[in-house]
Amino acid sequence: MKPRMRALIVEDDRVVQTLLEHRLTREGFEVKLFADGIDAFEWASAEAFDVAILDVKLPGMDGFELLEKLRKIPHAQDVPVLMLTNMASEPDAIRGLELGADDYIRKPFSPRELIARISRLVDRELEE
Amino acid sequence: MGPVGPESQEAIRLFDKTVLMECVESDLELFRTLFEVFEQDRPGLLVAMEKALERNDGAGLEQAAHKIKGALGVFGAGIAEMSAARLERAGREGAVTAGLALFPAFEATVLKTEDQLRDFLAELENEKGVRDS
Repeated sequence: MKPRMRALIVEDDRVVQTLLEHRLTREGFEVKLFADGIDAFEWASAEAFDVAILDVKLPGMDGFELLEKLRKIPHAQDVPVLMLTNMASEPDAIRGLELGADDYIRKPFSPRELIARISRLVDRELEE
Repeated sequence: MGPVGPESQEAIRLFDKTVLMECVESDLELFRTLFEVFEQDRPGLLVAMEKALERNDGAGLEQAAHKIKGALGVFGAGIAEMSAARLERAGREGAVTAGLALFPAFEATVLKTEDQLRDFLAELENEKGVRDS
């Protein structure tokens, strides 16, 4: 039996959290949810996961800092990361990509597009 | 477009049904769940913004405005979302005086948006009840 893939979600707004959790669970992911970057980093340092979805603006440690730290964890170096960026902020998207994110999606996002992007990232990782 | 004053809100739909239904993928249960979360969190977020303004706390204003902006976006509440973005920017730039001027209209717009979303949810639930009966 294929093990469930684990998704790390770091987002501080509960409405967006709920939407992400609902949609990824429906896709078969086991979801680990955090509202701040520090707690997420602590968890990610000790646990394996298959994809990460990070909001840019987070309390404690923002999404960029978290991304940089995740890339230094040996078991998370190649994990696909998708950043949730502000609708109007192209610099956020560029900065995320420069720091090692694999993709980004602007909020508010279409859940279907989000899942399509995540599936592409995860499939690509599995092929490599 | 700036915040909408209470007197002019009567004729304006403050959320985009198409954006909302795309976001919840026409799933009424999910819409209800998300709306309930918003109803629970919205009072605390508005209070956090108000307190940040009173304390001249730009970072606090930015954080609270950012959170409520994300939720408003899910519901397709573009007018309130844009106002939240302006308040977020005011907080980030430390322009708390500008934030103080924007906040009353923003609060009124958010409350009116919430009322409209509640009415829309009730309308969809009634329609579903009729279909199921």
